Order: sequence, then C-alpha cells, then structure tokens
Amino acid sequence: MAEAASDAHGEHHVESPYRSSGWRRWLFTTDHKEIGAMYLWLAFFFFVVGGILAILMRLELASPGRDLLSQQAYNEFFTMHGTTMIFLWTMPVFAGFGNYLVPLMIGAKDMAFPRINAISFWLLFIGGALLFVGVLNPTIGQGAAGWTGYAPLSAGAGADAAVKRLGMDTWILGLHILGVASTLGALNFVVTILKMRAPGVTFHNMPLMVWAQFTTALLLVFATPTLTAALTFLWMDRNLGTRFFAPEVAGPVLWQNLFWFFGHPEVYILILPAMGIVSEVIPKFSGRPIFGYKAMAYSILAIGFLGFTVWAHHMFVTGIDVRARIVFMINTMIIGVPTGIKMFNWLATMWGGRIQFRAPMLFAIGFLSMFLIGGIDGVFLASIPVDYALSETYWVVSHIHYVLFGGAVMGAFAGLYYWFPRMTGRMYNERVAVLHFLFTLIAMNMVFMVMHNLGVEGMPRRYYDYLPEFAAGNLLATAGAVLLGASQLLFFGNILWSLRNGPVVAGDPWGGEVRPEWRNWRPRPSAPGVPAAAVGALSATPLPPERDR
Amino acid sequence: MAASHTRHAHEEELNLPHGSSTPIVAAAAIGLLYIGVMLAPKGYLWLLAPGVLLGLYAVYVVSREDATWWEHRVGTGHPNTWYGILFLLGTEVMLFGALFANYFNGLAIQGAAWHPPAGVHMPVEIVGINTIILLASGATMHVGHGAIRRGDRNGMVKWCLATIVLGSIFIAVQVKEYLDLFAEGMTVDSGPFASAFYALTGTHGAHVIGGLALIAIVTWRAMQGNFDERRHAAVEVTAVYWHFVDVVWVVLYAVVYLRLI
Repeated sequence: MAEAASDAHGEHHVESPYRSSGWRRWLFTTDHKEIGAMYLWLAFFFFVVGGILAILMRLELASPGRDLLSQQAYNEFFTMHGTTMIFLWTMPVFAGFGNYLVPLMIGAKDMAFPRINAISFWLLFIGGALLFVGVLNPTIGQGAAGWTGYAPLSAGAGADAAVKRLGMDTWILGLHILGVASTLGALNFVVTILKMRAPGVTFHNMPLMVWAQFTTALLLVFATPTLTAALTFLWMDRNLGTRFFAPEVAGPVLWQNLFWFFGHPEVYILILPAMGIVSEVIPKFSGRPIFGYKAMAYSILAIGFLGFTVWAHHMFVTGIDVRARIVFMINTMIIGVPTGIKMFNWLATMWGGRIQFRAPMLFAIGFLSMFLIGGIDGVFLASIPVDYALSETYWVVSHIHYVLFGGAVMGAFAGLYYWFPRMTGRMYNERVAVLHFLFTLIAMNMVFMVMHNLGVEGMPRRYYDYLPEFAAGNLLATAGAVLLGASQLLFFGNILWSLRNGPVVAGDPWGGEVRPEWRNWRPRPSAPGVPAAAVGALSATPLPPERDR
Repeated sequence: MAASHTRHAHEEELNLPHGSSTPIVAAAAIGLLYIGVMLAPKGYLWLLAPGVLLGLYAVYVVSREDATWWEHRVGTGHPNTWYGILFLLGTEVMLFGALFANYFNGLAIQGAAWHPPAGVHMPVEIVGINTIILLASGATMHVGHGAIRRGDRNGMVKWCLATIVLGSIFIAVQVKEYLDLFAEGMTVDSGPFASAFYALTGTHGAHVIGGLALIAIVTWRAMQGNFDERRHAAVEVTAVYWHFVDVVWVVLYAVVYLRLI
C-alpha cells in the first residue's frame, strides 16, 4: 500500500531498515493508510466483543429474575459494554477512517506526525488490553461502576466488593491510556488538516468529512485532559488515600462535573465523524453536490463549540443551582438548531436527485432516520421537568442507542461499504449488504424502540432484574438483540469473503463525481483495463482535490 | 545537499520515515509504566522499573533517530511542529484548568477552612525565591533560543545547560519542600486541601522534569551538530513549552501560596 519515497528526491532519501514485509511491516509502519487499516480491524474486533457482552446482558434480561449472570457479572458487563463501544469501537473506527482518508482528501502525503500516529494506535491496543486483562483472572475482575464511573462508588467507598478489586484500577488506567492515545491522535489530525493541505485545498472547499474530523479532533484536544485529571484523582483516591471525591468537598458532584465536561463533548466526538461520512455518501448516491456546503461546515463547528456548554444537563438531578440548570437546558436545546440545519441540508441534497439505493446510501438514510429519533429523544431529556422523570430509566438507554447505534454505527457501516473498494480494490456483495441493512434496521428498532415505553413506565436502567410488568417489552428487546447480533454475521461474512474473492475494481465504482480520495489511487495491478505502466504513475504524486463547486 | 538546508523546510518535498521501530517501543514503555503505576501501591514497587527503563530507552532511540535523520530529511516541516506544540499546550491548559477547578471547588465549599492542616507551615518565602529561579531559567532558555536563531550552536548549548541547572535547583527545592511538609504531617492523604495541593504542584513538577528532559535532548542534539539558524523547530517548541511551564507556576504560586500569607 505504501509507496517508496520518490526517486526524484533520492538524495534526501534514507532507506529505513524497517520497511520490510510480513509482520514487521505492520509492527513498524508509520504509513497513514496502514495505520488506518489497523484501526479499523481493531475497532471491528472490539465491536464483536462489545456486542457479545450486550447480547449476554439481553439474555439475562429476557425474563425477570436472575437467570444467566450474577449481579456482579451484570455490573461488569454493562460497564465494559459501554466502555468498549465508546472508546474501543466508535472512536477507533472513525480514527481509522480519518487516518486512511483525510490525507488523501486534502492531498497530503501522510499525517503531520507519522511516528506519533503509530504510537497513538499502539496505545489504543495496550489500553484495550489493559481494560480486558481481568478476563484472564477472575480475582482481578473488570470495571463495574458503569462507563461513567461515578464516584464515590468507583472510588471503592461503598460496600460493593466488585469495585474494590484490581479490575477497577485496570479500568481507570486503561481509560487513562486511551485518553493519551486520543489526545496524540487528535493533535495529529488538527495539525494535518491545518498545515498539510495541498495547494488549492482550503477550508471552504475541503470535503465535509475533513471538517468533521477536524472538529472532532479539536473536541478531543480540549476535552480529554479533563477526563485524564478526573481519572488520576480517582486512582489516587483508591490507592493513595487522597480525598478528591470526599463528601466534605462535594466530591461526587465534582466527579460528575469533571467527567461530563469531557463526556458531553465526547458524544459529539462519537457522532460528528459519522455525520462527515454521511455528508460524503449522500451527495455521491444522489447525484447532486451537497446542499449548503458552508452551512454544513459551520454547523459542525457550532455543534462542537456548543458541546462544551451543556455538560450539566447530565446532572439535573444532582441538586445543582436551578439557574444553572436553566442555562444548561437552553444551551442543550440550541444544539438542535445546527443539527436541524444539517438534517435539512441532507434532505435537500437528496431532493430531486437520482438516488441509487446502494448499501452505503441505505445506511446513510438509516443514519438520518434513526439519528433523528435519537436526537428528538435527547431534546425531551434536555427539558428539566421531563428529565426528572426519565433520568436513569430505559428512556436514556433508548436515547443513547438511537444516537450511537442508529447514528454512529450506521454511519460507520455506510463509510465501510462506501470505501471498501477504495481500501481493498475489491467489491463486496451488494445483495448481502442490503440484507445486512434491512435486518440491522428492523432488529435495532425491535431492541430500542420498546425501551422508550419501558422508560416512561419507570423501568430503571443498570439492574439485572425487573418487575414482572416489564416482561413483555424486555422479551421483545432480547429477541431483537439476538437478531441484531445474527444480522452482523451477514456483514462479517460478506466483508471477509469479499476481501479475497470480491470482483476487482479498477477505479471509483460508484459513478458520478470522482471525489479526491478516489483520484490519487493506484488500483490493483491485476485490475482489468489498467495498463501496467499507469499503476506506478498514478501513485507517484497525490493530486490536490479540485475546487469544490 | 547543503543547498537544500538554506530553504525553509516546508518548501521542500516531504521525505517521511516509511517505518520505524520507535512508536511500538515507546507505546510498550508507556504500557509498562502504567502497569507499574497500577501495581506499585499494591506492594510491587519494583514493577515500576521495567517501564522506566524501557521508557528511557525509547526516549534515547527516538532522539537518536531524530539526530541522525536531521541531516537527511526534512520531516513534515517546521509549521507542523509549531502548531503541534501550540495545540499540545492547549491540552495542558485544560489539564491544569481541571486541577485548578478542583482547587477552587474546595475553596468554594470549605471557604476559610480551605488551608493546610493545623501546625503545618507552608514555606511561602522560600518558594517565592524558587519562583524567581524558575523565571530566571525562562530567561536563560530565551537567550539560548536566540543564540540558535543566529546560528550560534555553542551559545545555545551553554545557555541550555544554564537552564538545566536552574530548573534542577527548582526541582531540588520542591523536593525539599515536600520532605519538610511530610515531616510536619501533611501528606497526600491529609484531606482534600493536601490532595489538591499535591495534585497541582506535583503535576507542575512532573512538567518541569519533562521540560528538563526535552531541553537535555535538544542540547545533546546540538552537541551532535543538529540545528542551524533556519532549522531548529525542536529547540523552538522546547523553549515555548518551558515558558508555558513558567507561566503556569506563576499562576499557581499566586493562587495557592500567596493566599496563605
């Protein structure tokens, strides 16, 4: 995949001893495409792990009473499911797309700091391993205080033996490493996009995917340090006897302030890259340029900025000052405005277009409709009195999954199908991909739609047991979860088979405007219709993207 | 080859490393350090050693790679390093912001009771002198940076060494202050004020040590013949980082110490 350094500048070129084949190539690589591919592989591995945890939880919840998991195992499972899906699946999968595509889209030869890019990936690997090290030894255990790790429970102050074990420390320090990795990766993206654009690529004509990655990286740069500080305090409280989260300094509220000052920007970190992918896919398959480019770009920036001003809407029930609550409610609702602008511009892009319902486009439309439901759920929660009633119920579970499964996961699938030919030089099986979409859409609604009702009826989240009147809804959700898990087999089967056996593609297979990331492509030498001489020539210099409309 | 060095790096064709063993070694070192930190308080203090040793080795390998590549490649250019350090300092501002937020949270809730345990004397005067020493080190770093901007490599080495001496004095005084405070009975587990105090000053101290390491590396690289009047991005970002650490200390001294007079 990586080209050798250009011969014209051979006098500067130092042959690296590590540019070798086999396993060494992957361990020592600093190439953005290879690192991007490794991110994607690792992310999809953790997608499976997190998914299995979710299905086991749903099986436990299939009927009232304790069936499958111990109370403690259930706590560990929902903690690790949330942590895995957020930090080890969604963030890495979009970091993978970003690494692979952003330099291609802006006409850069690589990321700004190639070696730091590789460090960032390997830290993700190490952080993920540390989070799951408790699997090897049950006396270590895993994190068991929820992905939000609320103190003082997570500080080991209560009676719960599970959070006193080493597994809680591995959770804290594993996340800490992931924070460092994200910060390094984000610095790389910010500088790459600011300073590595080819001549003619400006902030007003670069692809919206790059805008989304840029804003995401800014959010990471300014939000992650707060998590780092909070986790450090938490670890010290557990191990060194410090009193950061002690009651005499309102420690529990301090934890929530620090955590959510990171945690709310974090949810935009998870969704903005998906919006960027959808903003590439929808114009392509509608045969029209994106509607309202600048409005789209600045809406992303506005969502990112407002994301820093709303964190206390997670804390309406903690008893913070009512005037502060009103400010946070209003700020939260204002986020609906730029989000609405994006929603309408996507629809306006499709309006009057020649829409091809290929798998990437189906997932993009799935994103629009499911994310819309999740977004509207969120506006309900932003309203203070409604939040009092719905806080800590299954409504919240439904909201986050419509946003993150309906939004981030659908967006990731749209991107993966769309760029699969670009990354592998082969085409996936369209029919299986469409089936994958249909089953995923139906199953996710089976799981999460009914949770609205459960939440309104008052079923609390994070319990392994529930009252008998919630049994029917829970059984439906469990059936949906099993179907959802099974549907993903279609995806993995399709992708793994197509990697080796899919039809070879010679260029952008989708038709329409050839976007920048397809332009500087070296297709497979064996591709039909590609003269052997052209293969090398295409790869020599990345072309700058042409000016957008 | 010499001619190419007279141009700004970003005007040249990029010539990137196409593979390096340093990232995975550095990441492994960080991973081992975390495991050491995790298990040290459980009675395995010696487990810190592998992470520290591999970390030092990784720093050495990265620096050696930078020093030997300096002649032959231009990396991705000076503006990248510069913008990289600016945004890195952005993360540092947010990190110290969180530490100060923790301090002010305690102050807001405990009010007049937000001070060291009874009988503990906070050495405000000695630390004031230490502040002046740190500011002086900022001045020497600035002069060293100015020297390499004129292409005076020897001058840069001299002034950077002076900076290292002054910075080390600062750290030594802080260690002595910690030991005195421990002896008087204020340790990390002496309550929320002590926690906030050690978090702020300890994090700052760690940054001073990190800054000293960076200065030592660029000084070593200058001794190897790196850097001239056009290509000294590493020196520049090290100087900026060092000035940032100075400024944070001034704020910290004003907020934490001067209140206690």
